[in-house]
Amino acid sequence: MRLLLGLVLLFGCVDTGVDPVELPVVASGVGPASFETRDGWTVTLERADLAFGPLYLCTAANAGDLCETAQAEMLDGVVLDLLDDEPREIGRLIGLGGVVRSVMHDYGLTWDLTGMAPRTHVDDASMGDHSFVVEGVAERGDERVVFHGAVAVEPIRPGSLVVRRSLSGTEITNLADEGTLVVAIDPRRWLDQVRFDELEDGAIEEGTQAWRAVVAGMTAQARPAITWKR
Amino acid sequence: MRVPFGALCVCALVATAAHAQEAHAPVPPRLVQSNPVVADVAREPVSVVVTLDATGGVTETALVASTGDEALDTRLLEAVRAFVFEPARVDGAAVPARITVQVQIVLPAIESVEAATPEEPAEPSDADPSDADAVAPSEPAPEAAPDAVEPAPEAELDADDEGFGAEARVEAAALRATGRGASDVEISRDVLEAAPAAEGADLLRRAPGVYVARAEGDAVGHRIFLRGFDAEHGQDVELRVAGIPMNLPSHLHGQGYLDLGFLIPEVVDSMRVLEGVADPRQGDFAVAGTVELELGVRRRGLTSRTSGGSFGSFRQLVLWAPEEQRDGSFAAFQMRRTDGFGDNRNALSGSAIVQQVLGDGPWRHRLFVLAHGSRARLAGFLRRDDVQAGRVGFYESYDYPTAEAQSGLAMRGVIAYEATNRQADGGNTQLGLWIGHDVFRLQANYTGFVERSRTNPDWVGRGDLVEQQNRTSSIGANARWRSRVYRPISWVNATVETGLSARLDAIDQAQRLIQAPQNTTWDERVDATIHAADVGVYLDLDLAVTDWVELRGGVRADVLFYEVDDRLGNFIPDFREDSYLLGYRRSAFGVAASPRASLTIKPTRFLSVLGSYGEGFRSPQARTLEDGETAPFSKVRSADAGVRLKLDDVVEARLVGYWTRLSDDVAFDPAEGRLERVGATRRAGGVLHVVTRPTSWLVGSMSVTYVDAELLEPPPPSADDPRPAFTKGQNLPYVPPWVVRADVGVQHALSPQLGRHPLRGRAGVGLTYLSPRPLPYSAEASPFTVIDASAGFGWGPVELSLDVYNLFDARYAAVELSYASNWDPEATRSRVPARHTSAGAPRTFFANLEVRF
Repeated sequence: MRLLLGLVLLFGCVDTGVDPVELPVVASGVGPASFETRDGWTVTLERADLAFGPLYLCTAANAGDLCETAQAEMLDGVVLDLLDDEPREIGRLIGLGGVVRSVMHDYGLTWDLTGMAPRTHVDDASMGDHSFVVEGVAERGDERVVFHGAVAVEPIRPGSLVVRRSLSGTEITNLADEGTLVVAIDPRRWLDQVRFDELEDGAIEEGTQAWRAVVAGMTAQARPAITWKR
Repeated sequence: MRVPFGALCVCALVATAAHAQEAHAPVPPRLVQSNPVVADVAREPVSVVVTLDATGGVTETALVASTGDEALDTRLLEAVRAFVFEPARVDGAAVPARITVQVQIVLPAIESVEAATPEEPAEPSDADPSDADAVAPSEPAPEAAPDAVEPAPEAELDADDEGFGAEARVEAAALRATGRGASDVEISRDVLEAAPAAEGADLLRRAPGVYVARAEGDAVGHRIFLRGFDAEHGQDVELRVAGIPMNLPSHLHGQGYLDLGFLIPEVVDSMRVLEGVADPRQGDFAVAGTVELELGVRRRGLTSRTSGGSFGSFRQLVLWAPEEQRDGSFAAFQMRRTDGFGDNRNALSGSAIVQQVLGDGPWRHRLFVLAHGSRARLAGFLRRDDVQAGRVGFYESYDYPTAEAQSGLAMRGVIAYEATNRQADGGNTQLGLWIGHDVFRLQANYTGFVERSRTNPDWVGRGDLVEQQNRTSSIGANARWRSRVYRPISWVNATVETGLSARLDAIDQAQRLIQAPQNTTWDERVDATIHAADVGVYLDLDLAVTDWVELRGGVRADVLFYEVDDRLGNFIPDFREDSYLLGYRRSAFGVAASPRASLTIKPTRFLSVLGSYGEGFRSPQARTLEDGETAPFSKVRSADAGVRLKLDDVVEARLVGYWTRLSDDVAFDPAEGRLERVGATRRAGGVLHVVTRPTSWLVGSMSVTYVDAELLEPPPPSADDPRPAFTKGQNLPYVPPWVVRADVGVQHALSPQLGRHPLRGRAGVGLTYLSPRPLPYSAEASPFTVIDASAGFGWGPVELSLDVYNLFDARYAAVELSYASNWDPEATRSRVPARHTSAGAPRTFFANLEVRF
């Protein structure tokens, strides 16, 4: 029996193909410095809080319906202070080694397959049911606009996510070889095309040009940059 | 018992010459088990003098007179040497003895024989007194004293009263050769009966490398593992019961689907397991191997066995085996019910099997009827992280209507007829016809809440309760002709066999998503009718070159035809404008040719060196075929080599190495609840199998099976499946590298006589060990060891016994899977594959009362 047990220990190990991974996810904003928009507005942000998550890493070149089974995921939702440019860990990425070609994530509002409507995914009352809460001052010559906004970016249907992007050029061949997933978010670009002079009482409200510009930046034109750090 | 026709019957008429002390009446030896005797023609009874040692072991055999046929003489002596006796006893001490066994040879094939009865005045034993000294050194050696030996009372030797193996059985010459290499194993009845069997399928665990589990619950087919193959519900294991193929082709829930729920363990007479491919008779699904079960009842009369036990379990067996008919004839009925060992597991099933053997002279006719029905609620699979977090109990079920609605239903009926003709020259012919109907319905939710309706993509989150319906009507026939023995030269014996098998299946199947509890349909996935035909022919040549070399082999060819009416084929997605009507009708065919051969070399009487090579096939799931496609059979190439050591029936050991390569394997896809292709695979490993009978009342069997199973060519990532579950070179998912099985059984008379009958006792233990198994997506299933035990007492026609399954209450997963699921509709959905478990049964008690009338 002792011999048998020895043989089991010797040969009983199994090669399951890929390794499980658990990697830290760090995120950073851009700091409090002022910036200038395309229309010449100098914007100083006083608050830029973003709800982020969940996040899925996918093998498919295009995330979405082809990512029913993900390579790794961070299911927690967090609120990021985008005025803090120090990288900080926001969660752990749990998954399996292997190729990652695309990612998808929400901005704190998810629409589960079982849900009747999108719901907030972060536990922060100051965010309300919104993804991005921003406050600041825009100045252009004599013009000065104190603006504020709370933008909700919701999935369009149950089970879908608002950001689905391929990692062209930054895809990885084996997640198990990577160290840290770095998410860098630049809210300045989301405000770059906002016409602050058109804001009523400085409010960025749903349906306005400013709202559409911010959402376009968040979901298409200036999505969070995803890189790897070993 | 009289032999109405044709069986080879051994009436062991025993005269005893035991050593005995003057003052004590000796107990003569008893014949408790005999092995098949090879005989081609009926002859006059033959007397054989058998010398037994103090353990009951046969030390010497001699014919009183030759039959005139030297080969038959040899076969008879070999057969008698394998008989098992209980030793003669004097004053309770076992002593050497010599007896005369009269072997009556008649046709046909199968007959039981009652226990030895004393015949004539005992003759003196010529055993060496030193033998007796060795047995009982503290006592004077018993002397040969014919006048001290009294014939035992007839009642004492009556088969019925002795029970627990008091009946001996001898089978006729095999109708065809069965020894096909190192992995052709006949599991004898004492091994089958050693450990308790909760159901018929448990008997399969006695074979090397076999593990059988009710992964999904009653009413759903067993999951079968055989020597490195995860045969799922039967895709890689060909099963024949009474010669009838039981696998269901193109079944919706799994190719080659098998549900062994119909099988009543008490009527399984013998089990032959041929691991690998070596016999030209092996047909579709013989990839990992073939299991052949012959049914029969040796204890004649009317038997009632009532069992009750843990979790509200109850079983009633009624078995009628008319005394005046041979043991192939019986009728059995079984009813089982249970509340289940956890949530959502109550089940009820009933089975009836009737087999009637008729005929006279060279003809034998067998009628076989099987009816089975079962319905069960199913607990389903649980996420392991949910169990560990305490969100759901290990033996519980998820608390959602879509989980609580899981259930299974199975019904099966088979009627068969078989005619066998044995010619006087040893040639024989068989013709069999059978029809069958199978109904399967399953409601199972593997993934929780992740599915989206294809029909209307806005329909989501209603619970992934998959409904599967499969109805198969089958008709089949088989025929074979085997020649007499040809002797082209004096030291070569040759026989030729040709055979044919044919079946036609009509299959209706549907798969839908339904929403519990109203069972409203929210998506359709499959709606198809399939007609499949399989015609196979084989040629088998059997050569015996001297007494030392046997070469067997031949070739088999199968032609399969398919017609598929796939009513949901050419599916039109919701976003595309209709430009045609749904449906895809197609036909296909394929041919599989497979050579097989085995070689046996017997350098000594004890040792055999064996090897075999064969190619087999598994038919495709018809719905995967394109129009006009040459059916892509899964081709298996299998080679075995090993040695077998047999020491006078005390020890039989086999050490076998094997290698197989499968061109196209499949694995279970929980998202669809069915099998999907995973590419070519290879297996290499070894088997050690030892059976020992150190005394007449003890049998032990142990097998250790190792396999290195590798995935060679998994499907590459595709647009539809960019994240395949499998990678090249990984160990095959679900396959345990190590499988260990051990069985030990003892049975003995506890007192010489208690009133009219002796008190009998028996006990048995069975152990199963499975090593860690790889799972898809890098996970690994935990190892486990399960021990079953039983003990019982019998007195006359009554037996009381207790069975304990999972004696040490090991908490183990009968089956583990790895896939993505979401079982918390309130939480953010996880998309990473996770381990899922189906609980194995905890410790379960069964008290049994058996009464024979």
